[in-house]
Amino acid sequence: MSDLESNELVPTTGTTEPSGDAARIAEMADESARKWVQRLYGGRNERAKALEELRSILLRGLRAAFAGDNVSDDLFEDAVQDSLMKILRNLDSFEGRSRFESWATSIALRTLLSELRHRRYQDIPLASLSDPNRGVSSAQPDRSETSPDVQMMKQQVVAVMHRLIDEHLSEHQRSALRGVLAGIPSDVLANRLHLQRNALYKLLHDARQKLKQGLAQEGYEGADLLSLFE
Amino acid sequence: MSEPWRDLVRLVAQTRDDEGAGCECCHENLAEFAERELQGLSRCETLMRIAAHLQDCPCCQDEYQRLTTALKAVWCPPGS
Ligand SMILES: [Zn+2]
Repeated sequence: MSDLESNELVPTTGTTEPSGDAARIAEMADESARKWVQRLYGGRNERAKALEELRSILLRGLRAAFAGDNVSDDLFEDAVQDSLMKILRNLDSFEGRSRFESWATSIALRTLLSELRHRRYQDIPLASLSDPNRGVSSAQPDRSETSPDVQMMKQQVVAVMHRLIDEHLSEHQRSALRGVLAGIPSDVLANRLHLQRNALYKLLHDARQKLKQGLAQEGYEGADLLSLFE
Repeated sequence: MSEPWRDLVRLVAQTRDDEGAGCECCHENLAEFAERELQGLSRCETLMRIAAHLQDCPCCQDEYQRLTTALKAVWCPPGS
């Protein structure tokens, strides 16, 4: 996307056309945020110039946030272009509680993060929880230098976790936990389980609470577990 | 001990009694939260719930860390 003067990005039809609300804009405490919104609600040329400026701000932010993640220039550019469309579509929801650039950056960041997570995790199978020994003695070796006693205690905790998972969780909760164990991020996992992200968060929160309570009943308190598994 | 089990045990151990804000609420408020944290400003009740959620949700925590890095680059570009 090199030439915004061509107005490729400027929406012309449907829901992408921002409507503007003078009263709401006037309430924005930040003068700069007010100007951004006014420009993006403004005439075609004014909007195109604002979008070009915003584009370079978003690119700078994303490049910093994903430095070291091996993201290609094309992917950065695509993410920014998608983000600009989202920003225009959602302009009516900007309330001015942060600076405009911060709000826009948060949208761009989530756009690219979601894309990267989907690419990275789409083919990873959910880890099996059916084998009670999984994670106890198999998988990756323990690289920490811990004593055999500590190793044994950890194995006992994991064995209790396996039992609690089998006996106290619903199949739905078990599926979600398999995803967590496979390292699948929650937005990708929600998609695969056909859940809204909030619903997945609630499902996992309830599962974690049951496991925490079950562990406490077995004498494993939160603080002890954190120091054992630090 | 495989890393995922270690992470899961830690996640379980840190589970809060109350559910806190959800991921969507977190995302909607993340720009304000990150900006105020960077400036060392106080948190309102909603932002306190976001802080609690970030402790509880690794994905939102990742998003928050990256957003903080992005905002630093946006507001204080290298060489400025
Ligand atoms: Zn979350």
